[in-house]
Amino acid sequence: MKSAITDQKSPIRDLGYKPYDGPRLSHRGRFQVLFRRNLALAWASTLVKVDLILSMFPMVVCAVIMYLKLAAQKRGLPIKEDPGLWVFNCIFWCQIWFAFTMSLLVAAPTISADVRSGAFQFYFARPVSRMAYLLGKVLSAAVLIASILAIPGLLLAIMRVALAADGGDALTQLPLLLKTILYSVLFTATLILPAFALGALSRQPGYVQGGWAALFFLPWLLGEGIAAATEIPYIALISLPTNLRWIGEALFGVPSSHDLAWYWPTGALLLIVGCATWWVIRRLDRVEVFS
Amino acid sequence: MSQPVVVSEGLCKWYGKVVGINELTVDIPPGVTGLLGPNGAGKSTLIKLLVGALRPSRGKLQVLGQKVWRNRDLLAHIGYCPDHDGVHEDLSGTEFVAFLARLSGVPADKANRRAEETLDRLGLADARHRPIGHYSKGMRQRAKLAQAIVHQPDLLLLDEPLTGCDPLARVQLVKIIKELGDEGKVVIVSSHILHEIEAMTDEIILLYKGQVLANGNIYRIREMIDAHPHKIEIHCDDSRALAKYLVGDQSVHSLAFSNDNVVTVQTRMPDQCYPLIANAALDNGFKISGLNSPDNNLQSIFKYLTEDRSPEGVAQRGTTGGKR
Amino acid sequence: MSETANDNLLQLDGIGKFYGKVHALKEVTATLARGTVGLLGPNGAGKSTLLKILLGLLVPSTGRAQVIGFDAASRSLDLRQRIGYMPEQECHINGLDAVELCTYAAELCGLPYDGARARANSVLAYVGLGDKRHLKVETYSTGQKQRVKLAQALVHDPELLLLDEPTNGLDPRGRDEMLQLIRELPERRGCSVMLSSHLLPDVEAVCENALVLAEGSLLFSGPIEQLRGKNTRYYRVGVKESPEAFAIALRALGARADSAQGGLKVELPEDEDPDFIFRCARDNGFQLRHLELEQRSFEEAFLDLLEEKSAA
Repeated sequence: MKSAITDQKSPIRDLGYKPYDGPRLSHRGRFQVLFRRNLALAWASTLVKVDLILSMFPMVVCAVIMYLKLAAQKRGLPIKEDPGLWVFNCIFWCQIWFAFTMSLLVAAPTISADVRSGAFQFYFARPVSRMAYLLGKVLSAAVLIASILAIPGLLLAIMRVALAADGGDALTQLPLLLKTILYSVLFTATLILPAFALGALSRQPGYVQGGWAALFFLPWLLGEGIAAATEIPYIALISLPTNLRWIGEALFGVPSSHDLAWYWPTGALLLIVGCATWWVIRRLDRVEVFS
Repeated sequence: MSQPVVVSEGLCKWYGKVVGINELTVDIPPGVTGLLGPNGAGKSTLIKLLVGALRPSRGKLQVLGQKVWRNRDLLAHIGYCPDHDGVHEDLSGTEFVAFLARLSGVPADKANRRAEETLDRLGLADARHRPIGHYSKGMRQRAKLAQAIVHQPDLLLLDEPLTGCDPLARVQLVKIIKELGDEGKVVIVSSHILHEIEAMTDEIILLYKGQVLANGNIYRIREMIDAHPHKIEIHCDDSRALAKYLVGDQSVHSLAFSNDNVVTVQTRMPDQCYPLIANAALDNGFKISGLNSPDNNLQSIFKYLTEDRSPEGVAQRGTTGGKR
Repeated sequence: MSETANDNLLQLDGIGKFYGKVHALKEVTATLARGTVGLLGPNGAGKSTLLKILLGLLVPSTGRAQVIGFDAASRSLDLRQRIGYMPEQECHINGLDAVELCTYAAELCGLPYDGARARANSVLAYVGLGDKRHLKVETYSTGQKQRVKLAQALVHDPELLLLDEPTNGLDPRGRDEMLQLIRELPERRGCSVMLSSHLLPDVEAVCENALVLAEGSLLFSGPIEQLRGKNTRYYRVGVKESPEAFAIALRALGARADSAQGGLKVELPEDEDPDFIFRCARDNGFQLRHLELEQRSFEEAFLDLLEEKSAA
């Protein structure tokens, strides 16, 4: 066997294959590599950039409305609800569309696209655990979706606290920040994990996207429609947006249209999201890396 | 019948500005002929022209004396085994082959039986009732070959017929393809796996950038490559002394040593050189334990012909002044 | 379990794998030293199951596998850090170019970003994709895709390279270049190579040893030379003139001569050496052109092995 490397002092340098002598990192933080790369790949898409930028506009409108209501309140005009509720209104009624679009673009197709292009072989023939893979993908989607939900929400919440009538009012409004964060996290998880669960079912990214849109919107229409017709609110618990709305209303103190206690929608949502997560992990464990 | 079945003259096919095939003139006789060439040389274009999937831009192309384009009756005499997977996953082997047999003009009542016979011949007797979706890659390949030969065509076009097959299946299929050639059909096999083409036939057509670079018997082609004279590799314990003995003779063009007991002689006069070597062994006491011609094979022909044409090859010939 | 790499490439102890009722692998036991190995066998022999076990992606139902000193089942992440796998199918991520893909591959094996990027560039230059490395991998031709696959298997400097049909779809020149790249690696780097292929000449060109499976059982493990066997009295002979006529001349002198592909297979009479054949040729007016000690071709040896198995 010839010696591995030509002497580097020789006048002709050896440009062939050389060994690698540098550092090697432990695989504990490996998910960060996946996170960074998936985020970069997502960001490369024009639609993603446009969605994120456009999503910042409703916040302006809501801020103006909140400001006017606070001003009116200061002048002593009767305002029914606390203007701080506009944080919820912004997140649920405005940001939801942009956040869902982001989920459709980034979360829904990603796993099936990987299966199709043979990326599973790429990842799992390397020292990448299934959990690192999943965590990297979830986090990269979460950063984008949570930004859409949390940035406007937090800015509005901060504005509410800053424009409080007095110190006492400010203190009562402080929990608004924490509630916004909590709500955004729950919302984000709801927009990612069920989409991943669907992605594990089909190899066609297009079908997964269509299925996710159907799964999100159809039960909303049907569930609330039937619940209203039959006056049985429990039926609406099948719809993810309905659960999110009722949880948000309970959390932010918005007077609600139904009389179900807060633990119903919370339980239903956690059940659905929990099952989705379990399903994704199970499918990943069993996937055939190569045929 | 020794008349060529496939005749082409000045055949051209252009895709807009891109040349697929240019001025191709070749006659293909019965028997197995290998169709070779680097990627992009025009092999698939030629095959598609022969199958009637493309219309010639210019020139003449005739199979069995007729034009192929828009000639449906002629297609019943042509069998094609394509490179890509186009099989129907749900049909069983027999159904698939019988269906394509009927499309090629086999009467409906005979189609099933012929399909079964063909599948048996190709070693799929046990699997022919199973759906093709359950076949391994090698079995699928054999099913595709079956549909190409079930209607007993006169012209068979096989594009990489052995992909995905394991070594046992490869040997069996090579044997079957040779048999088909011996039956008098024209079998054109396009492949990159040169040692298998060599096992099937001595006749080849080598395409390069849309033109025919060589056409005919492998060994005759080899003899004609002037730039690379005939090489003889001699295994002898005392190779240096043997070289000294040989170098004096006119017929030796050059000598090279590879390891201690091998000397490689290049010669333009093999008929003079070989007896010289025999004399060395018998009259001059050299112990020769091996004699062979290392580049008298298809791999070498392919390499010499295509590399001599590449820009690097042309540059090199310029400096050494080799003749072709 | 020893942390240091021991000398053996593979140590398989009674490896078995069941998929439900299907017995994919049956009691495979073999030990192979570091070097080059060909993994061979008919379709359905259990090769991909074995590869998955060696990569630590599948836990065997019975037995233990040690690969380059690591137990495949319990140290699979450490093992995959040191193995490079070049798959048969498409294996890339849409939207990345070759440098990004190889950098990503290296990072996933633990290299820091800068080291990964430098390494990706030099490995891509080694496999011959220097010019095209900033184009998206989806746009590559088959040959280029094969080279990218090799590059991303090599980028983290593995001790063992697993290759699955590396010359698929390559034209003859591409095949020669790919085999040359692969052959150089054990010489330069001292890494081991395991090549799984149906093309026996490829395996012969690269590997010293072979591991042959059929229907889940191990048929042979060891040097290819051993599989071929040796002899000293059979020669393959070719003449310029008609082989049949020469055969007659040989038989007249007491040798055995039979037709074989490309010439004659000759058994020398007792106590004779190859000069016997030279003499016979010269005396009878034949021009001897080919003289070679008969060695069973690898293909023949392999097929004989399979036949013995199916007869048993």
